[in-house]
Amino acid sequence: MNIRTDILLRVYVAFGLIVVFAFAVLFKLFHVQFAEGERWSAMADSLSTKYQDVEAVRGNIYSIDGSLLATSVPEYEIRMDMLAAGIEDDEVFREKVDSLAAKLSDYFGDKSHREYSKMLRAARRDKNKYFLIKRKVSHSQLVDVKKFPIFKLGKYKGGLIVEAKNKRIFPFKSLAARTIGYKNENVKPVGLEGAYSHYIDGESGRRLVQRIAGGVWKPMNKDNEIAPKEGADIISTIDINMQDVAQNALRKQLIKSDADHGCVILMEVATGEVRAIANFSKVAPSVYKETFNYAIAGNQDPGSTFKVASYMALLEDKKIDTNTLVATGNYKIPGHMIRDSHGSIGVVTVKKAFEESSNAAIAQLVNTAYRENQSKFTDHLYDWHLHEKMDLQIPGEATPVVKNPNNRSWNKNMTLPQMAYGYEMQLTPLKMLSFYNAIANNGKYVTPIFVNEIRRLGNTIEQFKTRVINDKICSDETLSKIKAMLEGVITEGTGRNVIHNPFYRVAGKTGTAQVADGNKGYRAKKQYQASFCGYFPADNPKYSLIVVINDPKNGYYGAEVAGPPFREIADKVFANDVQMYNQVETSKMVGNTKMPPSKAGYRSATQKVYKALGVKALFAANSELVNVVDTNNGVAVKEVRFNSKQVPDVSGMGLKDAVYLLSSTGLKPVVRGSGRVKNQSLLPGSRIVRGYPITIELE
Amino acid sequence: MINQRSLFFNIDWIIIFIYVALCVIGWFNIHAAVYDPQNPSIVDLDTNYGKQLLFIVTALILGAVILLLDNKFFNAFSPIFYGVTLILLVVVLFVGRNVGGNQAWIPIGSFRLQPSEFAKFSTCLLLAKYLSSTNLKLQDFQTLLICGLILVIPTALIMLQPDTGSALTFTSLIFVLYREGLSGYTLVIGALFIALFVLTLLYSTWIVAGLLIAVAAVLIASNKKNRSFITTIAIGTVISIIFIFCVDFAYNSILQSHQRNRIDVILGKIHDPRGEGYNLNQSKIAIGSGGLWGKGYLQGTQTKYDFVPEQSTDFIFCTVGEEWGFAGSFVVIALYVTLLIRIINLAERQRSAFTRVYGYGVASILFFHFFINIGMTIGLVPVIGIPLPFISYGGSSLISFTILLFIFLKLDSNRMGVI
Repeated sequence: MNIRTDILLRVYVAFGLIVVFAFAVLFKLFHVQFAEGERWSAMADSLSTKYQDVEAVRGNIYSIDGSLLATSVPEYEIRMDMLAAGIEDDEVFREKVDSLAAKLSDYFGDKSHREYSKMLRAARRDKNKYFLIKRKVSHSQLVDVKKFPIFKLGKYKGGLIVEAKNKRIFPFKSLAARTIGYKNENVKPVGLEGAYSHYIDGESGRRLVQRIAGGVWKPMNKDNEIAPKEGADIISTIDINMQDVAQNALRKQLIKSDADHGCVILMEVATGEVRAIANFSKVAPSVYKETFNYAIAGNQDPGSTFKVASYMALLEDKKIDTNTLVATGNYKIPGHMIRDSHGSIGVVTVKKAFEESSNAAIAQLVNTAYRENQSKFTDHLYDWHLHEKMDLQIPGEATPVVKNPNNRSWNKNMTLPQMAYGYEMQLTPLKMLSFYNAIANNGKYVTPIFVNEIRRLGNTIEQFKTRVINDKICSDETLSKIKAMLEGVITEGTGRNVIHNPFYRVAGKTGTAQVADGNKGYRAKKQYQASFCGYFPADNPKYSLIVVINDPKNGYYGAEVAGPPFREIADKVFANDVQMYNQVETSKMVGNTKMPPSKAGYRSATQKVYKALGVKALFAANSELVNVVDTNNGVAVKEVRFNSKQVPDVSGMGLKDAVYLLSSTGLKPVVRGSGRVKNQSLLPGSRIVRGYPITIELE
Repeated sequence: MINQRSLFFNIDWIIIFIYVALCVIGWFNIHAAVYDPQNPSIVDLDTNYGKQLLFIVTALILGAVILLLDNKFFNAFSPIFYGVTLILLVVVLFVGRNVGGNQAWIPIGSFRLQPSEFAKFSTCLLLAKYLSSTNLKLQDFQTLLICGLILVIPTALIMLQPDTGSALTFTSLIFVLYREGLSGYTLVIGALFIALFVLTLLYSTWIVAGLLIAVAAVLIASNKKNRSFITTIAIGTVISIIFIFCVDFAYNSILQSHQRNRIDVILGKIHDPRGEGYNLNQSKIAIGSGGLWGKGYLQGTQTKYDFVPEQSTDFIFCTVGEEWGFAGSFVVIALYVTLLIRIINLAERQRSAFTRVYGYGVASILFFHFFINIGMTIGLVPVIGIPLPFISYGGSSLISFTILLFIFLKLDSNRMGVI
């Protein structure tokens, strides 16, 4: 082959390859588009529609006294069908689009007239039948938007498409936040919201949607195929006023002692219903937030508050009596010296040793009594179910750790005497409180409950009864001795300087435990947990209460740190609970419970007047202006909030405050009548037009 | 006397016309593919279609600059281009930004430079310079070795990113060597090995090995007398069997699982429209639902509603197929074929070997992209992530293809100037 033909051949190969491969591509393309075309087209259609779940409105969570703790409010997404019947005609559309744009721009203020106009015209050009105008529109805004040009033509002609979404709100903000909980996407749900989501969620509906430009799914029909079923309401056992008191008392003490975290639980003795539960952790100096439910999940050595169980075991087994004498100060066990932090008080009775919280005494008593048969002591604890979870209604309960001699970590010489005063074990504050509650409840040990009932559309669908774990944890004889000892703590013992109220008596026990700092152990840094656990009134217990404060600075004894909030809560709860005044018969109180009414006004002023009159009023509101409501539980206070863009709610206010408030927002008040404001001519929450007259009627 | 300094002196207008047509087709299809109803305007610079217009304008300006440069510049500077590209390919391994698993981009301000795109024309230039030097014979081992090195070094560096698609592009330059005198058998043997490769993956190694031995036995039996023939067949069989075992090993141990899966999808070994076959399946739905005339501009549903992945870059042909149907696709394919044939035609009329070799390089690279890219969208070849020249969205790729093509135009315009 000569060079010329060789090169020619190579060039032809080049041309040939291009043509051959191009034909291969064309052939395959032809195959895909014609031979298989129908199959692919069918798949294209089937992929562009699907069924989509429609979220149901979630149920509410109420407090026991009927306040709304969590609720859903609708929030809307407004879209527009640019080819709706009413604006089919280009002339009509062009004529009205600018006024619609102007209205939208004025109302939402997020885009200029021109931008809105441009946006709408562009959407019209694209024949967009599902054009997104605005997200997160409230119901009141929606009502206004429906009156805008074009939209006011009606549901079908106006082209307004409204998609309802739900937004969860918590009217009392941080009140019992961790216990009410939350349920958000991609986060592990917490508290009642999570635990009862099965009820609260309701049932999703279903509708057919079609995929359109931009990857958006547009509903095919106006109505759902299957309507969603609204969620059920949860009536929790939380009492909003008690919760408020508990929370404020705890926060105050945490700030005062600059503690790391703390919790409070208030429980009704007879039913085990939790009336208040507060948990705070330090997030910044003097700033505490609910971030973790220590009350149910914070396992710790309980410390001295546990001694009551040790004494109960000893008394039940008749190993001691309350007047048995015992030495205090030091008690030596192999490898360790148990000391009393306040030093020796000599040889005293068992009752006195308990009241003064002697570690040496109880260690010695338990060690002497059960040394030979150590499991006899732990059997009591197991009989009382202290080692078991309580099967709470909300998730996250920590499993208690109570050792027995069969455990590998059990030390024959050291474990038993140390358990006697509340070490070598892990209990949550709620677990400890439940035990005290059993003492207050004459030995009947009940599970704490957080939810009273579940209602759907006002009908009860499930009611939660008190669940008894143990009908009688010990004999009546033991019980009365224990009760006397607990009262003694307050009258003569470590709690004597803390709680003093002439009207009722408290029974309880202080606790000061040294806390292990993570894996560094007890010796890394002296950290304490101060606690106070008890019940009141002592002679006829209605509530049990525990206060736990972790790592307080400047002072760490239980009485000193956990005592003040205990007292504050007990005092306020007692003062507000008519049934607890046993010296006054309740029947005589009927008709006399009406509290002096107050005009709405400044909180500080209202507070001062009530204080002077000696009326116990709960100031749950934090706003500057408040409205006072007379409830059957005392005087409660409602927040009055306003902003400078909306007409404030002045109902219930006196003339002076109402006029001041209205004038300050730029309105011109016109006054009729005298007394408290009954009516106002502009609805609260509507937009303020400066200089506009507003008539208020007083009565 | 004609002013030889004129920008458009002796320029091949057919190529310019096809180039502009492809760019405009690309721009409109990108608009359709990533259409955003909130920003519908095709010149809106916030959108990718707006940006593509900017890239096209930039590319045209760059093309004009290339036409203004002196002809000898490219020949003389080709080793420097090549060297700079290699440096960039090394640099990108250290400072590059990783996008989609490939360490392929060097961020410069808001712009991202992709050195592997520029390696295409610089490698072509150096190959052209080397092959156009006098007294070379491609049968010589040393010549082959140097050609091999010119191709292998950038390929290896790109494999390290690892951007298999771009690296494979360089294999197309072997065809340039064939035109310049590499034995035709190499192509035949190459084709045979590809066939063996596919067979090995389709059937078990042992079956293919057995088949090979059987064929060899029949061949030898039919021609017992010819000793050298028998030796050749025997050696060929042994090499082939070693090859299929290597393929088996490489396939199972060297390829990454997604690459293996893409090959399996094409061979029909796995059928998984939601998983590995998703891209291809969505792509076929888009193209297949286009029919003869297509759904019309901006009326495509599959591409516009984000079913097809990478719909403005690697899978841009889906939009062409869906919205313009077979007719539109035919036009696009015809434009490419015309462009390729025109380039080879021009290359063959050169007096300068440099221009000819370079022209073949341009044609090979464009052809490879055209065939692989369109082929993968319709299930002819495995999914390999390389752009469709001049049509796919992206500044680096458009600009590098423009440079590649315009250097050739410039060299061609000067064909009379070379003795």
